[in-house]
Amino acid sequence: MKLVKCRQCGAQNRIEAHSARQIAYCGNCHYQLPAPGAVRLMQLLFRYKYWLILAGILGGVLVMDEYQSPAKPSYAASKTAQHVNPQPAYPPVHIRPGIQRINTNAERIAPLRIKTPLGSESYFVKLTQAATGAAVMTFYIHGGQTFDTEVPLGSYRIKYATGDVWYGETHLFGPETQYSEADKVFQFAVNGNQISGYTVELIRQRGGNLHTKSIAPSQF
Amino acid sequence: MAIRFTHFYDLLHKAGTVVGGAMVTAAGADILRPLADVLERELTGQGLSWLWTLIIWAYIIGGYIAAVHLLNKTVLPPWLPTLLHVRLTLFTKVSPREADRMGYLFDGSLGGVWYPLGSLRKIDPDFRREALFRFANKIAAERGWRCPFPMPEDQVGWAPPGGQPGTRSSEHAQARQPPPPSTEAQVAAALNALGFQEAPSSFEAIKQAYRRKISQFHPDKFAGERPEVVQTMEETAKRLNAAYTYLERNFMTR
Repeated sequence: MKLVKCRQCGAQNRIEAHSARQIAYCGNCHYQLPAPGAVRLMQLLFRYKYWLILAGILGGVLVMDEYQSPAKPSYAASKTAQHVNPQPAYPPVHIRPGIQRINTNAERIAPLRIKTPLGSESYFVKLTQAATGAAVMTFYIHGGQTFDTEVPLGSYRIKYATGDVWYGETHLFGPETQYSEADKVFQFAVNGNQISGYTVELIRQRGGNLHTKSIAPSQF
Repeated sequence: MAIRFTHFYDLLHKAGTVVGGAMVTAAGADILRPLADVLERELTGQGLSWLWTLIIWAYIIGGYIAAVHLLNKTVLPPWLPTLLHVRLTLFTKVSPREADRMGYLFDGSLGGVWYPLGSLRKIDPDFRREALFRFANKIAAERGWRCPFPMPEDQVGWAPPGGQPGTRSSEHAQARQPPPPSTEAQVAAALNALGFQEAPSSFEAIKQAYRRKISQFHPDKFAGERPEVVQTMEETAKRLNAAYTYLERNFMTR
């Protein structure tokens, strides 16, 4: 039980507790009783809760548009191309996410984690020797998934292809495949008792330390 | 499915709710799309595409109902068509709260009946609100609801001699009635009915006010309206006549 003094008439009012749902009024003059700032804020939020939800939905749409447009820089272009180009003649191929190919007998001991952004696109990642460019391993990852694996020690480059529909390793994601490569060389080595690994986030972020560039299909 | 509507603003409101509900549902789906993509892939990958279809339909139906509710609580409140109709068609100033309280006159909730009340435009703007509120009160009283707009005579407790026109009274009810108010209070209430807050200096002012007001509420002005409207205006005219007659007798002699 709390004693609250009315600012209007000065009468002392007993109330159970301040509530976000209910506003307390003076029993004498029916003037609104003072409440702590946090309670007043909660009362305000409760009063305009539907407006807040609506604003949240509209704001969410704007944020999603903002979020999706840089993540899919060629979205508009690919949609236009879809109208111009006919559907590929080859059929989509079912594929299980995970390691697709391993072209080495070396022991795989260095950890590698790849995170991909939420979305309908999938990722075909290729690990190549930094020196020779020969493919060492390939992985298939759905958008929004985190993939963990071990790779052999060495220096590698990471290339990846993205798209919505998988048409097999020959055609990858069809004519709309986007090819990219990380600028960095990834060194997987033993340092004392530790094995250095990497976590690669293919999610665009402000201040990120991994730069990627688009490459031609022939460079993949 | 046809949309039932009464006036133009009601149609606009209903169409806006239908379209707006769909748009808000679509906006919600847009926000949830990344999550939905993953869920769809996981469920269809595990052969649970029926579950995915179920989720989609649950979202469409539930989301639409929630979106319409949200719109009704925010940008498309139920009183909005009434407010627009009264302000833009009847040219009568009412607040959103008043529009909310008189919504039943215009939204077709009285068994599909609604009252366009176009005749209100014929009377002086100063009296339109009163005429509208009196009519809303009458319809509410006929249905046994509480009158949404208290009138000055209700607050003072004045009734014209010989009983209130248009109200039924029984012996039982009369037995419970409080003692009649003093002559002073009745004079004040009669003045109130004619639009005076304080007693005027001469009876001439009362006469002028009465003539002006009675000319506005004359039933002939509402000849084309529904019988309920005409009856309300007749009752109002009778009330004014009674107040004037009472003042004629008691104003100078009090």
